[in-house]
Amino acid sequence: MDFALLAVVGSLAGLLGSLVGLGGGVIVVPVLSLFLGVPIHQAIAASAVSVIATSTTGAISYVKCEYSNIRLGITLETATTIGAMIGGLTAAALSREALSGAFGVVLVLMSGYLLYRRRQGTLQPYLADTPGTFGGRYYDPHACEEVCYRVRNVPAGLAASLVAGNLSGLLGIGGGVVKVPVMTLAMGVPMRAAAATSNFMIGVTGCASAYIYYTRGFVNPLVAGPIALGTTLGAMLGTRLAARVGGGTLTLALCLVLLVFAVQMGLAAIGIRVR
Amino acid sequence: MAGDGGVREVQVPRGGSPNAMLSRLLSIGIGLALSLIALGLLLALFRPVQQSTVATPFAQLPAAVASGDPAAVVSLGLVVLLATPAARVVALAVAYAERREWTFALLAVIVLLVLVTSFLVGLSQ
Repeated sequence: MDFALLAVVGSLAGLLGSLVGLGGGVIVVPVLSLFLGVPIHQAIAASAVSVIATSTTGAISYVKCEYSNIRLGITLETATTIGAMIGGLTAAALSREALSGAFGVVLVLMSGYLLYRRRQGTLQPYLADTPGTFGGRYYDPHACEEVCYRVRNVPAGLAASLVAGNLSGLLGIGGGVVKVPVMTLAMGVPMRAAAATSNFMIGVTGCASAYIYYTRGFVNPLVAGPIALGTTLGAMLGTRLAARVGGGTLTLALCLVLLVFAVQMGLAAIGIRVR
Repeated sequence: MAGDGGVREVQVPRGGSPNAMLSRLLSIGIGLALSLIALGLLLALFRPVQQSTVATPFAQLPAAVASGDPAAVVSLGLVVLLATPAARVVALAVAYAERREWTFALLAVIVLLVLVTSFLVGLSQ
């Protein structure tokens, strides 16, 4: 297969994903499996590897700026990694039809999440003078002030992390779609810290399932390599462009694309291929 | 671990802030991994590529990389990529132990154990 084409697919997925605040996995897996003839298990493994690469790259600056809450991250990782290990083992055991169907369902949920996030108002984080055990503080460059917050409902966060890790392991996606809303809505974490902490966790979570994919022979280096390289470069470009590109129309467009992919994955689940 | 009521000062016994150390570790890991992947893909333009769909097994990796097999060089890049987050968990466990934040050091060790279990379960098929 043409490495350049795979790298371009990865770059576009990384670019689009970072512009709308999703990982590239939701684009990589359908494009590889529906249009480029890559078996879905290999597509999911390639996506998992690329998710690790993009999240690790993003974490370099998030960690440095102290946006990532490392204490909270390592706590929730105990649940995400267990979920991802179970998800990875489940994926290895499932048929490609079952995996296509599951991915189709998640794509519908993803587009619903994107629409919901577009309409929601400002969330109120649990701000405090001291961060407590799991909270944190960082400097918000837009508000020009230090933000200090506490964390509540850690058990709810652990439960959501188990689900997010499971989805990540099963389908090769980051799982931020579950973690970020739970951290912001249920745990009182500010959006910037929630997104950075979720990103920080994704690398380790992805590894729990990627080790299973790698050791069981689902990682095709000539597919996963160019996809990982492309997604990382695309995501780096997307992060620079994000401030200048209006996300609204793009989000709506991506919702429609995800829904089309969802229908095609649903059809693939019952053995019908439409290109 | 700091109590909920007090202001927590960041105490770093040695080696600088854990955030800066983590950021450096991640930079080195991802930089090396992506360079190896890019090198492997570049080699694939000039050398015949075995159309294997499986990453080079660990035992054969050193010899295959030494012989300049493009798929093996990409595989090595992927191995480095997959090892980087695990290395960051080890670094966190050490950093929290040095700061005597035993709860978080223990949590990091638990995460590491899950990763090791996942690797062993994958191999055990």
